[in-house]
Amino acid sequence: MTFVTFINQFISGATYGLVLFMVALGLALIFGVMSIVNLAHGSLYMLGAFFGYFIWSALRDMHFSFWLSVLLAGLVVAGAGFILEFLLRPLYRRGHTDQILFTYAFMYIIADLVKMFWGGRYYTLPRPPGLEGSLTVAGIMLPTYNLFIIGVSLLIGALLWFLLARTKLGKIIRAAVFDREMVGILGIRLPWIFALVFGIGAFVAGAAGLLAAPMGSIGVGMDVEIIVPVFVVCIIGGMGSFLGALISSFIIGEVYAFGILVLPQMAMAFMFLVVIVILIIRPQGLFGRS
Amino acid sequence: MNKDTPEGLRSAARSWKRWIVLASFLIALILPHLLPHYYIHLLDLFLIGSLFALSYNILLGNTGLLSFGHAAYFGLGAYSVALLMQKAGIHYFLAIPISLTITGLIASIIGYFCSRVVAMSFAILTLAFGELLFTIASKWYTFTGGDDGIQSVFPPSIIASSARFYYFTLIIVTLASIGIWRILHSPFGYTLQCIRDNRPRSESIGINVRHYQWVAFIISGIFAGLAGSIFVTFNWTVAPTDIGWVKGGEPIVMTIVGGQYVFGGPIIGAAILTFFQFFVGQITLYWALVIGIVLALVVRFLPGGIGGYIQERWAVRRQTLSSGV
Repeated sequence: MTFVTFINQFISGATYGLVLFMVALGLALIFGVMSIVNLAHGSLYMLGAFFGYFIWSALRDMHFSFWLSVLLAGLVVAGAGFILEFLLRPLYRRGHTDQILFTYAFMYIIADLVKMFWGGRYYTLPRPPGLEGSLTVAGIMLPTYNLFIIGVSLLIGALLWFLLARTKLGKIIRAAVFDREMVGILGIRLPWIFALVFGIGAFVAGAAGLLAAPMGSIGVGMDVEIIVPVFVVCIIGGMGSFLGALISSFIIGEVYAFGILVLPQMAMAFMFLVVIVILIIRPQGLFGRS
Repeated sequence: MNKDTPEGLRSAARSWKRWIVLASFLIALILPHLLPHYYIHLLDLFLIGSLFALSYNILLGNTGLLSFGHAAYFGLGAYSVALLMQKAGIHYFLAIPISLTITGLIASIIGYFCSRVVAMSFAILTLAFGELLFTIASKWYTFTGGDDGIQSVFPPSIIASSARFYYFTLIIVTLASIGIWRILHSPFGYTLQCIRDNRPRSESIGINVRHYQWVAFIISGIFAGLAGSIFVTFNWTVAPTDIGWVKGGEPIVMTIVGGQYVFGGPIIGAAILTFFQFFVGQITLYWALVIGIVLALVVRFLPGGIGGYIQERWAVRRQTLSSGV
């Protein structure tokens, strides 16, 4: 392997990993705060891609149409997230198994709704203006859009961390993790906090859906394609941990990118091997508390 | 039998259940003579689905472990039968026990690792192993036929007609169900339920939880493999989709909708899912939407599933009867 291929694979692995990270953030946030396992999170990502694509095709002649579409797709999906959260409410007091099954049912529902409205076709859209080309660093061409995705994903992660760790709202959210009842007694409307947290997670997933779209294609089935590795990331990082999610999404992305070089067809298998090994050594995940 | 005492009522209910089981078996025996071809195929599918879901429920309803990779064992059973028949020329009836041994061995390796974790990690680890096998099956073209799978796996001539194949399936599934029933109603089965209900307490009274989960995993895998090994000659082909996690969703839906805490629950669920896939599938393309809505409603409003609901009504009726109303 030459140095150039190495760098290229490294960047493509980091990009894939950080797309996973964007989706995993929402999942980790929802799990960390509400202790809800949302299996339909990948479906929200898919919804974001589809909504975003059709908003974008309506606005395509405008300036900044792509960025506006990303924002609107995030908002629409946040709305879908509110609905899902509302339906999930009666299950908060039940175990994880029931929540997993309930959100699993929504994977079926959302997948078929998408198929119903937009059909089984694949859609592609170009990279947004200004980010089509590549950057040349020390003689190596680096695709600008990939670098951009890495940056955005890290930025979103940092913003969410800042929100949780440094703001009053974040304090309330963290307090709710420790003692829901007490927070409620203090006059804070917990259902609103939960809806907000779910909405933020859904917004990021929806926006990520469109952000990742120029690097691949939009189609039914992308919900399963994303949720499996994202769950893998959350579990091996330690469920609910941001740092764990970041590191494990990076690991998974790189394993996938370099796995393709070694045995193109078995790249997914390498990923599952990593999970199996990590979970056997540390059943609670890299950064999880047992 | 005195039906006025609770004891008498209980044994009356027991004998009722026995009569229902016997009657449905007898009906099942005459059905192929009453129904057109197409419906016999549907019945086969229902029977295979029942066995698959019953095997799954050894883990979910009885041990409290949610697996997303159960289709792996179904697929292993199907693939190993197909490979044994086509690559080694072994007769179908001999291929079944060999394939179950293979499935059991692989389930014991995977189960050894999976039984070390619980809850979420268990769900993801089973999924990871399942997808690993799926990847191997769909990419190893020279051995498994890759994405195309293996075609022309025909049943031997003695069970080739659709009525005969139906009887063959009925007998195997009935015997296997009785076997699962016996296992779940043995001290071993009650120990599994004890682990499901209270893991720490089970550990503290000296139950080797990990070991029991491992054995449950293997048994569950072998029965799923049996379902797969019938499915392959029913379908004449096996494809990687029979291993993947979409297939793994089938026993989950069947078990939850039918009722995970009642022995017959997965069978009810298999009937409903088979019905939906075919009849709803004829009316609308979007049967998965219907299945999703049904699953969500059942999880939300009927956590015990339809079987649990029936049993509850039954218990209420029995109580009102015995209290002399």
